[in-house]
Amino acid sequence: MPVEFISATHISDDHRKVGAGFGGFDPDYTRRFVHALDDGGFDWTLVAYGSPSPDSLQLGQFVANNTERIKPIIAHRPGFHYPTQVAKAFAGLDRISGGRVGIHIISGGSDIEQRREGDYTTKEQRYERSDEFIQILRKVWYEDGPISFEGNYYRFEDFETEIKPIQDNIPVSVGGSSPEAYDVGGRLGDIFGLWGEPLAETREQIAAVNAIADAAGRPRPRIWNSFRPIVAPTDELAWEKAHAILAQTKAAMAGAGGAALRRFGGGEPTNVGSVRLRKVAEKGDLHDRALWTPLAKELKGGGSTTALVGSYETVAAALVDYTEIGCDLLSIRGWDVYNDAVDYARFVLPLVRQELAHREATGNAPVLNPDSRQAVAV
Amino acid sequence: MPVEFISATHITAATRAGSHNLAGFDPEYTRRFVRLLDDGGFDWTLVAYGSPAPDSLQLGQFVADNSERIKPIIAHRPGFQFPTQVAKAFAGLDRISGGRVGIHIITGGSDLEQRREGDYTTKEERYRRSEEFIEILRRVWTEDGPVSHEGEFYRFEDFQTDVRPIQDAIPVSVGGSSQQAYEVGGRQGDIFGLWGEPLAETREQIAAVNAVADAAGRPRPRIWNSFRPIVAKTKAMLANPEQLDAFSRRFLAGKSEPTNVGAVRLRAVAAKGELHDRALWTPLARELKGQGSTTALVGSYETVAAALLDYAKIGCDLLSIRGWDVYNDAQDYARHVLPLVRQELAHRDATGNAPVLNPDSRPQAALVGV
Repeated sequence: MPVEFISATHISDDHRKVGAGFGGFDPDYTRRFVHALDDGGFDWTLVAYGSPSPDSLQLGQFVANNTERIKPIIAHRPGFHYPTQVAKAFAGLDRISGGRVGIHIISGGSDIEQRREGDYTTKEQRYERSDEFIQILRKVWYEDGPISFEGNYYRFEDFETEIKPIQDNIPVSVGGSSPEAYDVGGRLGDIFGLWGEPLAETREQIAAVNAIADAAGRPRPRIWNSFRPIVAPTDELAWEKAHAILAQTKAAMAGAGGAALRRFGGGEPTNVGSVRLRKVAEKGDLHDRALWTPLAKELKGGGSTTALVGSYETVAAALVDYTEIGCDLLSIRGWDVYNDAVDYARFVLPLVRQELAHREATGNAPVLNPDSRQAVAV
Repeated sequence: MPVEFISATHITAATRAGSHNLAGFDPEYTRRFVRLLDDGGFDWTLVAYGSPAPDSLQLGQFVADNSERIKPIIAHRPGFQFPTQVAKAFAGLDRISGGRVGIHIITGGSDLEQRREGDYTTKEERYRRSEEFIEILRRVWTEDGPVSHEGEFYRFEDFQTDVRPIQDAIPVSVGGSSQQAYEVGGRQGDIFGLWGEPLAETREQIAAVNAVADAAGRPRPRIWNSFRPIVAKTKAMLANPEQLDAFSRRFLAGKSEPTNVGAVRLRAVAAKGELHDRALWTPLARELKGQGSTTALVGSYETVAAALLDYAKIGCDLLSIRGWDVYNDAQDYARHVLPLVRQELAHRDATGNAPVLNPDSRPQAALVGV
């Protein structure tokens, strides 16, 4: 599989402010943002979901309607919307978008967040439910004739629709870092999503998911890894920028942004992915070539919060390191999100693609800044 | 309130008399259809829902994205998606569409149909659920700060969003013909939807809804009434009902009679007689077993326009007209019927209500094949 780039979909200028929670939904800003991604050569854009955010399927169609080629990968939390309806919504949007949609299943790591929309299940139940949910999606998409189902979470009789996807297989992504996530993702995912950890830890997680896929006799999921790069023309300028962002983040966390984050996350997030990011941050500020963790520490590992810091070349080389261990979906989202997306598109995406094309043409001889690595002193 | 016209939103060229959306979803056809409505001066278009149909909110955005002014009124069945999410979806789409959306609550008249998507409630429960659902929608749309709720069907804690509608109040429509529908619609609806019955029966239904609204101290809902007109230049050119019956027979092979009150009422009207009032013609409703809006208004453009005005006069200011050969009929309505009705209303408005449009028009029994 070729390496593909994923962005996040930002929906309001308030997202520029570090730590700002939810600033509503501004269609004009969102349109500009997705135009920049589409023109800039991103392959996918994640349409995230949380209880304060817009309906991800509505936003997903808005992304598709305002772009030509980028593919919205739409986060969906099972448990709030009946799977037959969700399947039809994705199938219809697949037709509207000309076969561009993917679904990213988020099972839900926080009980408090789930209760905001009336879900009182345990985390274990939620993963079991996601499993049933994905099975139903695929039945509705690809089976002919009436469908009935009787599971622990869903039961229905004699459902039939001709609203079918264009794609032979709408890609289903699963994320998480708990054994339950590996299990569901390994057995059912076409894609498995991780947050940016050091290479060694990432290898471990990939191995865990692959072991499940192998045991189930399924193709191994593609690995999607998420970072928040901080780039500049030189390493020195990038580090200046990194420390400035850290200072802003600390100030924001002490103020309103922190309050918003605390409200949204209910204090320190307890999902395994966040716990793991905090643990990586405790081990050290800088890992491998350019993985920098103080922002993850400051933001309590709530979501993708680890940075890759350095010149365009350094960050491109760090991304290539991850492709070498099997991450072929590289999610990069910034801090000053619009300007960063434009910078990534101009300076980082071409370098990574050029390097990969070169390696392929020459039999894997690396040329991109092979020894670039941040001096620990900076 | 001005009189407004509503169409249905058809999504495939395969749509025929009485057909459900079982023939897939063709975005190109849908785009053409919606553009026709938008250019033709319809005010609203209903985005229907049933278990075989596309997600109505996805289709709703598709309609908005492919039109400039027409307002999608999007059917939604409570019970399959949590109301906080539905509220956000409508609020987001309201922003995307520049304030054009409405929601039409369909509570669900058939147990079998509900079970196709896993709902095993009774009809009584469903109406109570719809009412709770509408209350939550309005709280999410309008209240600041965290919202919690504990009701018979929904419970949640501390929900908060900044995703808000543009409209001060997204119109909520309720449909149905049972006492429970009148109750929920009268207490909660901005709009109440009916299927086309004779004037007398329609008056009764409107009075029943208004009585509930009055008792609740709420403004009376606007009344939305649905017809399937059959128009032609002259009475002699009217469509051949035998042909329409052939479509409907094919569609209905093997289907049982719907038991929801609206359908039962349409069959009762059809049993009373084929032609009512100026132009309301019921054999198609009988043939289609009252499944949905199935009564026709038959006549020349002038006769059908006059019949629609009769309904406007008794308080129906949302006139839903959907055809049988749906694309061509929508074009005919837009060209020939909408302007007549609007002109007549403008004339009455300007002259103090003196009717000029073909006041005595009424099809002769000989022409309707009775």
